Amino acid sequence: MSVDRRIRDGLLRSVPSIEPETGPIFERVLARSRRLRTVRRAAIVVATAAAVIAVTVLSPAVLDILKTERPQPLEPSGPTSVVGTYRVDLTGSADPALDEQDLAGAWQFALQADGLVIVQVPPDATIGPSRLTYQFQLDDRRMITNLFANDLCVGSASATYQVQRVGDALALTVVEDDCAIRIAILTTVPWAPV
Amino acid sequence: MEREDEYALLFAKEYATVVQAVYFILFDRHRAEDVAQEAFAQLHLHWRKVSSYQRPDAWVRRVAIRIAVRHAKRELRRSALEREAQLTEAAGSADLDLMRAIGRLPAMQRAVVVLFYFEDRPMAEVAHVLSISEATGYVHLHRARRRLGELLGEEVGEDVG
Repeated sequence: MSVDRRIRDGLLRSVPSIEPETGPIFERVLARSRRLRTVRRAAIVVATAAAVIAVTVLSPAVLDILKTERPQPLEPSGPTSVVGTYRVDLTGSADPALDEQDLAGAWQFALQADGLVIVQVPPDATIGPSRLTYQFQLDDRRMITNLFANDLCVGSASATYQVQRVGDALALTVVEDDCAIRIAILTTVPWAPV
Repeated sequence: MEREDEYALLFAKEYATVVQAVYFILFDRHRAEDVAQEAFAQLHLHWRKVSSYQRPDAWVRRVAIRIAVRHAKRELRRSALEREAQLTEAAGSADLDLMRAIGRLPAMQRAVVVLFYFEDRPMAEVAHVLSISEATGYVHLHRARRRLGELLGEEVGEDVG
């Protein structure tokens, strides 16, 4: 027998041994959903409270930092102005989509002068190879890139982001992108130089 | 039809098959049910948005499989003895040799095998569910077939797809 037939037949034959009841489970799932909603709301309240406290207590320090590290336009325009390796540390709490898709962790983006961007994915991410290569193009502080078009953003060929410098880091804001997970990865935190 | 009714209908139709797919990745009945329930709870939480999608069932399956793969990666530490006990407990009409062999594959290969053979999905969909490229999906499938062929003593013909 071929291995393919054995796998198909074997899996089908094993199904009857796994027949869960649905009736009593339904209410349990709804209760679980309500719990998730409550936890999510509580997290938002805590985050908001933390933000208010941070702004109130730390506002003088924050203002100082903003004065010294206001986003600066990139000069000169073109790929060479951003060439370098950057690290992006993402936590699941920053965006639920990251956690849901197992994409939290340390990402590394190496922007090369030839327009290639080499991505080192977090060790636990489940998107295939740990090293991905894509292209980017910088034009008038706008980055056009096909990042993740072959894995996380299949069907979404390219995206456009506004790039600004914050100190030595890069801050990306979305201009045009219909892939939510790419937006979450690229814009949630500034890209810190390595 | 009311939105909640649509959700209840989808749950009744898909819950069992999601549990089954997850079971073939985790080989633990209770954890498979827990993962499926977590996925359906998340679906309920996002139902307003996801119900407008073309395939809400694909969304919940995707979430469940991803959670299962994450669990399977962690459970490598579980002892072979513990896994064997759970397999035997759920035996019934199951092909235990096949279950044991699949259980020895890495998590992503298991997921590809389940989606490709059990759910009969084309590789493009398998790749989409697992957020990998089609080429990567075929690499996982190729390795899984070769390993299962060795473990089961079955003939591994030309690559599928």
